[in-house]
Amino acid sequence: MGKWKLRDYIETIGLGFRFTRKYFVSIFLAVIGVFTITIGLFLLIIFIGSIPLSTVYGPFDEIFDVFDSIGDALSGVNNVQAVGIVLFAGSALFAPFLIALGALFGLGQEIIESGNADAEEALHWYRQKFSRLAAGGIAQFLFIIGPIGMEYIIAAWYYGNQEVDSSSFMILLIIAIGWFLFSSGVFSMVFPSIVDGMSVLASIKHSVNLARNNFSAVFSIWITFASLGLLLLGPFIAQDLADFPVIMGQWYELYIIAVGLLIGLILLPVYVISASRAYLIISDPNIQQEQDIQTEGSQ
Amino acid sequence: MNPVKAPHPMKDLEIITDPNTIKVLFDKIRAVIVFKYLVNEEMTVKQLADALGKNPGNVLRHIERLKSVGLVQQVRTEKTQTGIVQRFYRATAREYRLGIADMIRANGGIKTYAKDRLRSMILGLEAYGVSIPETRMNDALSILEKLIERENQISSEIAIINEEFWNSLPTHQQEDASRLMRDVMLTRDEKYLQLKDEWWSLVTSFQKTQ
Repeated sequence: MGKWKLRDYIETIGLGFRFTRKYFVSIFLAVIGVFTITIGLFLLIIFIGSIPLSTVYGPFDEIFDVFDSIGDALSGVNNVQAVGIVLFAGSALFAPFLIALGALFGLGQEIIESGNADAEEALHWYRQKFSRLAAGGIAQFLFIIGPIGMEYIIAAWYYGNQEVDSSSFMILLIIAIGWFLFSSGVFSMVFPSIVDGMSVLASIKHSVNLARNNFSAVFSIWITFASLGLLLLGPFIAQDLADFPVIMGQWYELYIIAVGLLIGLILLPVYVISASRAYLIISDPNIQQEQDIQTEGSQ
Repeated sequence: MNPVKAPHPMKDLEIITDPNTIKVLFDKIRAVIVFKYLVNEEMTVKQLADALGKNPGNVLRHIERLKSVGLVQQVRTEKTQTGIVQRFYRATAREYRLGIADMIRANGGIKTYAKDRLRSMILGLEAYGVSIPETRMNDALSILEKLIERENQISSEIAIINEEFWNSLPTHQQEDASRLMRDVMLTRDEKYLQLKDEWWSLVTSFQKTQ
């Protein structure tokens, strides 16, 4: 495997920002393009999903009422079935977003390998790799969320009708977050591998091997961006999920919009470019350093 | 396909038998990438894009497709001064030929293409005064198919051992060396010589004397 040094880490993150700035227009258009298609696909999935659900819960007034019926379905089943419903519905609903993310990795590899970016290419990757990216994304989702669902089932079985005390809840939460961060890191090279032409199964194996043999490379990049993302989403998590107000009034809504744009248009492209570069470096055991500046004009 | 694996030595000749591979090469840009550039030298996506006048992303997707069917492989990776990580790609063989027998066994258009190709080769002998009648055409097609297959099989087993030296040779010298080596290997093969005899007998029996 390729060697990964502190210098590579700094250089990779720096290049992620530099290339995002340099090709911002192309990246911006690519993000807008793939996510527009994604939203369309997402709505289509909701529409298709609402057809069988409406036969059970009656016709929906609005398309998003489908989420209410999923909530109804969850309240009337046991814990194992609930986890199954969450995994199934989550896979279907997240798949379009994961395909979009995978398509951006195609653009990321193009930028790192040739020093060029074309917004249209992201759409080509989206179309060409649609099924593999969807299958790879769903597989990652199940591997990452599945064990958290198992933890929920075990905890629900262990505690029964008893209320979970705060320290036990905190331990369960830390385990879940820890697994989420660890497994997401392990699978963070799946999309670059699919873009590189591998099958879904080979990509998963490759990603696991890369993470095992190049732990510092894979996790230094992943943890950096996961931490930045969590930091930006911190006030949202505290306010909406933990009911602990941090930002008041209309500033909160503005903050959410600003964070959404920052993550979607800056942090995500920088991460994709950085992860693509890390992938190209660590996936070749005999990587060389160029001796003369022969591709100076390539950027 | 897996970039972790070390590249295989370049073959002198590879026989393409998989219909999927043939379909991949029906794309003109992919065919040019392989037959014009990557059989001769290792190149990066950027270099290929410049040579073809295409977008690097477009070339990258073609390369990925060619890698997936084993026509192209990644040979090395290099970090440039500008931070780009460029991969060098090369064809897996110096020359490719279509496996006639496999194509004939295939279905649909490929089978028809292969049969038409063999027939046109035989009809072309008319220029040398060789006119094979329709009654013997099937025999001629069968012998020629076997002969080409055997020649391809023997030739494809020849590996380029010293790749660095090979790459330093001009194209005409590579072609000469390749032809000489194939000749040596073919003249040692009993089955090939037997088929050659059959072919020679058939062709000369229908050759008009001047």
